[in-house]
Amino acid sequence: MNIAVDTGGTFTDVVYLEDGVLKARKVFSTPTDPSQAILNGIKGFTPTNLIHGTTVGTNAFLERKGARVAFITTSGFEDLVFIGRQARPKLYDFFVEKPAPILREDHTFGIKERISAEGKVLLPLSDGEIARCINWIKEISPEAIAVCLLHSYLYSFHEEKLKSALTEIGVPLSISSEVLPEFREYERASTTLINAYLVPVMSRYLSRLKEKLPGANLYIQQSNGGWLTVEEAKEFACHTVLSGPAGGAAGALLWASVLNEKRLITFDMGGTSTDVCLIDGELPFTREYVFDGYPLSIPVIDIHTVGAGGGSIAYIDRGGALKVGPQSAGADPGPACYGKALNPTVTDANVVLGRILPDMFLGGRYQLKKELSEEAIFSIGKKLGLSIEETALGIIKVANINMSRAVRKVSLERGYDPQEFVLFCFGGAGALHACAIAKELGIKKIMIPKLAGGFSAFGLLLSPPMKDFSLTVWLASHEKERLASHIETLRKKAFKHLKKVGLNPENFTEEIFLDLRYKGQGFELTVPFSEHFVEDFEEEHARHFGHSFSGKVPVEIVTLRLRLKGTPLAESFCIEKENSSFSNFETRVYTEEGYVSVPVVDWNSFSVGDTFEGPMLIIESFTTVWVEKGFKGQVKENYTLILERKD
Amino acid sequence: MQRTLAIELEIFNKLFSAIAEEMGIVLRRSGFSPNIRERCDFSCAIFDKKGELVAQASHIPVHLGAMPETMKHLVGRFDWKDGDVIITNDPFTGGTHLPDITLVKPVFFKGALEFFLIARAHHADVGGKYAGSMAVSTHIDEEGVRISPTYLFKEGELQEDFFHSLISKLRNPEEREGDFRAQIASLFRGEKRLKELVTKYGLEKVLEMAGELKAYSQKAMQELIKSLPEGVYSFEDYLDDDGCGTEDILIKAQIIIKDNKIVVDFRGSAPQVKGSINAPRAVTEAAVYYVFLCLLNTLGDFPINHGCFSPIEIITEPGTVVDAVYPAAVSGGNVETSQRIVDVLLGALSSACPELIPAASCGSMNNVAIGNDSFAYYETIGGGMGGRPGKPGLSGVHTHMTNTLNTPVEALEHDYPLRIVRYSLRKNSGGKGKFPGGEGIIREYYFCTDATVTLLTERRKYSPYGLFGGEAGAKGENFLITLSGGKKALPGKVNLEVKKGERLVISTPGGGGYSSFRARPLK
Repeated sequence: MNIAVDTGGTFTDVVYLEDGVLKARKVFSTPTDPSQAILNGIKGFTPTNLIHGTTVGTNAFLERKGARVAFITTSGFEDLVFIGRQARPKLYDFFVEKPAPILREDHTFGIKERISAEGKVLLPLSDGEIARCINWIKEISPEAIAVCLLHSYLYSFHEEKLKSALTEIGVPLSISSEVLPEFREYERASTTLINAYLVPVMSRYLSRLKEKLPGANLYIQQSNGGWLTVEEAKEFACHTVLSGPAGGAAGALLWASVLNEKRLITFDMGGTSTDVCLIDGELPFTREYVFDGYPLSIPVIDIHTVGAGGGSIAYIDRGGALKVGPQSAGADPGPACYGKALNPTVTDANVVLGRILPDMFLGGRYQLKKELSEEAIFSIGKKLGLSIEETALGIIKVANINMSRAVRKVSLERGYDPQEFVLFCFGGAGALHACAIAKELGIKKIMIPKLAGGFSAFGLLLSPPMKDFSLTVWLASHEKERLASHIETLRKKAFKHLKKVGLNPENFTEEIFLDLRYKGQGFELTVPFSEHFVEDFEEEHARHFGHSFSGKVPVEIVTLRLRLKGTPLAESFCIEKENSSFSNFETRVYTEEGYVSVPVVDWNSFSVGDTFEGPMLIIESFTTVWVEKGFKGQVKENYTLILERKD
Repeated sequence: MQRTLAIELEIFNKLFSAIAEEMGIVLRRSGFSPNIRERCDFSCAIFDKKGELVAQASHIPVHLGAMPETMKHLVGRFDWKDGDVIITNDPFTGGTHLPDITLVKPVFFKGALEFFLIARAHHADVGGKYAGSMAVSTHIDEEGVRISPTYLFKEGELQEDFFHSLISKLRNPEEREGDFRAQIASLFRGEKRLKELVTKYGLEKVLEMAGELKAYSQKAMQELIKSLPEGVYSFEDYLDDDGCGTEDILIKAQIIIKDNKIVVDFRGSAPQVKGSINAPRAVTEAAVYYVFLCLLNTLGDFPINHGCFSPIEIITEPGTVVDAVYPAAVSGGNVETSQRIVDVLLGALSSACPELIPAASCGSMNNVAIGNDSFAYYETIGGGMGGRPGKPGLSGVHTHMTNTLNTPVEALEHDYPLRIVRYSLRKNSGGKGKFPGGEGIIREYYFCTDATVTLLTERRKYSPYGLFGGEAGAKGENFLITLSGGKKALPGKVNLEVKKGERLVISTPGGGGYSSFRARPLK
């Protein structure tokens, strides 16, 4: 049996296919030992293959519980990661702080060696230097070692020499020319350091988990949306940090593809934050991801996160404006209606307006206290002179603007018009806000999948194994032969690597991309490698920035990228209908027009092909859909809801 | 207050600032010079038809704070038409220094002028005697091409003759053209978004909310002022020199907090000097606004617009280092004098609100311009931040009036005939104290070719001060290691011919310490 398990903060989601039918289970996470929840979730199954999305690395990093790392770099650049890009994170703030450190100041070592920007040796790395370095390491006895030498992406010999010398120490090594052979020393060093910081934590966790799952092939989801072996994840732990959200975006594309939609803006609203991702036919990647203050420049699915979710707390600032978030009540103590603390949150506003029904939350398993929501919202409303309902509506509007802004960032700011995309909405709270977000941005169509939680786990189950390789080459666009030879080198390296981590490269297909820019620019655009990659680049440039220099300015190939993609464990799925759990009824919802009567419909009462019109509340165990007036809907394959604006 | 205003304020605050930010993203991503693409040395903002700031993106304080003065000079000067783009870098009509070239686009609705968009970017070269246009000069005309406000586009038509004659006077014209195109793209994007905003909400509403946001920020600034004790607070400090023989250049400020208003009076500051550290008034205003915006931040995250500035009055005397007039050389006023003005203001305010004010930071942007006939490169180096009430200063960062990024060493070495030998924190340069100052930086350059170097650096003679018994930060140092291996001390400001194989070492100042261990704790 093939199973996918995604560990989240509150729940651990298990998704599997039984005779082609997608099934899901949800169990509470066990943060002190996440593997316990996995065992609880798969009780009774014998998994052959288990794909796992984990937050062990992410949490260790956020809590700064990673390894004590020794950082080795070219002499003269010992403070590389402390100086960073020399900027402060906030402009008008005397009390600004840098991100919390992941490296001790006395744990850096400058080694005498130097490679030039042409990849030539200016100062050879001597055996004496290596010996001096080894002595130093023995003195501080670190838990992991990170090595990043200048220009090692062009000429990695010095790093390799160090690697073979340091192996004898028996501490995990992260080598920058292996982790990220690309230019920009701070970004490469930071990525290598993050890797070193997480390797011991991930190794321990994965070894333990593997022991508990004898007989199963364990695979680990990565930030690029594909999975790889445990061996890989132990060596390149930094690739696991965004595996959950990556699964969600990958799942959205798979789900929507069944309905022939491939241009999506995903909208995943959770308790503390909202993730959005623009998918134009394929999953988008960024190499500018900043992980809690530190650049992590590996390709990760380009997901933009804003600190606005159901738990975001509303307040009045000192100038008298209503603000929502980024402080969140999280899952604990949670919104006021959870009964633990009187935080006026977005969820409370939804409860007050009647869009969340207090006795139908999580399938009725959890009773919400509406009177506490009212009390919390009233505390804001009395300062504004507004009724509880008007205040709640205001909170929703401000939260919607914050979330719309995230959508703008991934669409408009990158030259995409959101009106051409489908808003694909999942996560606990997203479907309550989807209509408003769509209206704000002119989006015409909304798609909401039916899956009892666990959307990320669904994405994992249907994702392929995948590994990205890259190399900064710095060629002129006409140097086709040199490019071909670099591609061949990278391909060989990639094949060798896959074999090493226990996979057969014969089963993988390759995709080649080039990071290109006009000579002189500092920001690269990635286009697929083809005969006409220069023209493609110019088109892409024009789309992003409104102009190109067709033919007038030479184009430079900065970085070469090779992606190897295998076959997913499962390639098709369907959803079976569940029994309807209640009869439809009417409720009152507060809108711009005051209270209106709204039908409440069980999602499970729908058949494929049914149509409906807003206003309506559609309820399923883990999701409530608020269909606003002016929207019409229909039920499509797999009981997917499609909402469209009537105008 | 209208009842739902509290909600709309937040919504329109986000909508306006999203436009300014998107303009910045377009500018950065399509810019050509490392200065724009890597270091982000540019700023974007939206003004209303009166020339009052509506919204800005978080970019470079010295740019942003100087824009209101630019607009003051421009608004009434032109008969604005749809499709116009005005270009200027004139320090004497509201500019800062010549490399900061500003493009302004009016935005019309139904034939009426309603908004202006600004994109200001630091160009790596604007001509003049030395590559990089940041030389030690004695006359504005030596510093580069001075563009008095003029049309770059007239009713949608690019003024081709003007444009080509302009870029032909600059070093590396292709790169300049690329950067100008990026600035233009940014303005067009801003216009597009502003028009969408008006289509969605209606012009009346958009204008009303622009006004409400100003009132809201003004109220917040007044609340800050109310929280400060009334009184007269004075401080003075010195710039080391002007690079042309004048030393110990006095900057003096008196801050009067009274009746919910603030008056900042710079009278008594030194007369303008021969060398290029004179600050046009716009730069001085930017420094004042920066300080009060930081204080405002202690109350909350308020939109930055004209309302923040209206309770503040600034008095300067024309012809002084803080209000330079033609033909003063000004390239360093923007980058160096602006920092000292901040130091002086903080020194004065440290008696008014000691719990909010840090000790002096690095106090210099440590400008280094390098070039010859085939390239021009410019960068600035960070230093130590002053110790702060309750925490130490940060090390190796840009402070106060700038926040540009460094150019990655690997990018720099790929693009230019230079090598970086060392880039590290300067140990023990932060002033000691209960909350010590941050460390400065050491950056060492190796020249792979003969080149001209200009240094514009400060705090090589007067250290960044400590506060309440904290020690001063270490002064900066510049020197050259010649081919014979000799170490030659360099002045803080100098134009220099450097030979292939020589090395330049810049050590930047540390921050001052805050409070001695023995000092009485603050209330």
